[in-house]
Amino acid sequence: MTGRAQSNLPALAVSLLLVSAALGAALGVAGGAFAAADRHALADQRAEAVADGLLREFGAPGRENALVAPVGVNASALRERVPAAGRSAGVSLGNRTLVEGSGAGMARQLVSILTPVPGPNRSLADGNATVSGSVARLELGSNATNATGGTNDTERVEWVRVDGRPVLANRSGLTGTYDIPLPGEGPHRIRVEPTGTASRVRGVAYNESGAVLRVSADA
Amino acid sequence: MRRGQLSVSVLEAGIGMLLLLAVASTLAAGVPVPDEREARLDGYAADGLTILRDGNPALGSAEPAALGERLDALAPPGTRARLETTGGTVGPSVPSGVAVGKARTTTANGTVTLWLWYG
Repeated sequence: MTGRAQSNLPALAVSLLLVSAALGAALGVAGGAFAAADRHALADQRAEAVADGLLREFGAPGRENALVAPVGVNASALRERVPAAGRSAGVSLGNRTLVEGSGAGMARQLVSILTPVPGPNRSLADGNATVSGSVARLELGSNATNATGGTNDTERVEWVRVDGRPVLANRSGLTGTYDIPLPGEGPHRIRVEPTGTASRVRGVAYNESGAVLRVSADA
Repeated sequence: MRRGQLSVSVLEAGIGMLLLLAVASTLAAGVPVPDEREARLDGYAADGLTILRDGNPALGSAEPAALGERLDALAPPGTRARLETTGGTVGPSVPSGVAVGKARTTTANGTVTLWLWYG
C-alpha cells in the first residue's frame, strides 16, 4: 500500500500543476471577457439621451447633428431644457468643456459647428449676395413677402445659382430651408431668382467645422 | 504483456482542465470583444454622413471638390476621411492595418460610402 501511494505522488504533482495552469488560463480569459463587457449600458443610454436632447434643444433649427456658434450650452440651461441630464451630466465639445460633470456612461457624437460669416454680405434681401463661407443656408418661399410687408403667394423662388451655376431649381417654387455647400475658396456669388421683384428671402453663410460632442452621465 | 495504466489523478486533472477551459471559453465566446476604436469611428462616419446629407440629400450628385472641402472641415481632429459617391471619390486611399470606421447610405443618385480613420 505504501509503495503504491508513493508511486502516485509525481502523478499527483503533475495533476495539480495542470489544474493550476488551466485555472490560470480560465481566469485570464474570464478576466478579459469581463473587461470587454459593456458594464455601463444604462449609463451609456442616459448619456446618449442627454446628447440627443442637447442637439434637439440647442441644435441648429432644421439641421441634424448641427450647432450654431456660439453654442449657448451651460449647466443651468442644460438641466432646465434637458431633464435627462440630471445634476451629474458633463458636456464637452471638441476641447472645450461646456458643462462640468462626470459619469460612468459616455456618448460621443460628431457634430457640425456652424459659425456665421460676419460682415455685410449675410443678407440676401435683394436676391443677390456675395459670401465667403463654406455653406450657405437659405430660407426660401415661406418668408416671401411683398414690398408692403404682406404675404404674396404668387411670388416664388424658382432658381438659386452659385457663381452662375444652378444649385437649386423648382418650377413650382422652392420652399423651405436649404443648405448649399459652397465650392472651393470664396467669395461666391449667390443669386436667388424670384418670379416677382419684391420677394424677400433670408440667407446666411456659415463656416462649417466638425467637432466631437462628448456627454458623460450616470445611470 | 503488462497493460499501461493511466493514473486516476492525471485523469481527474484532465477532466478538471477540460471543465475549466469549457467554462472560460463559453464565457469568452458569449461576450464578443468589440474593437472600441473601430466602433467609435463607425459612429463618427455615420454622423458624418448624416451631416453631409442634411440640406443636401442627393449627395451622390454633388460636386466632388466641394464635398471634399466640406468633408475635410467636418472630419474630427486627427482623422482622415474618404468619400465615395457615384459622382466621384474624394480623400486619400483607405490604409490597411488600422482601425477604420465605415458608413454607407443610399441617395437618389446611388450609394455613398464614407470611411474614417486616425492618421
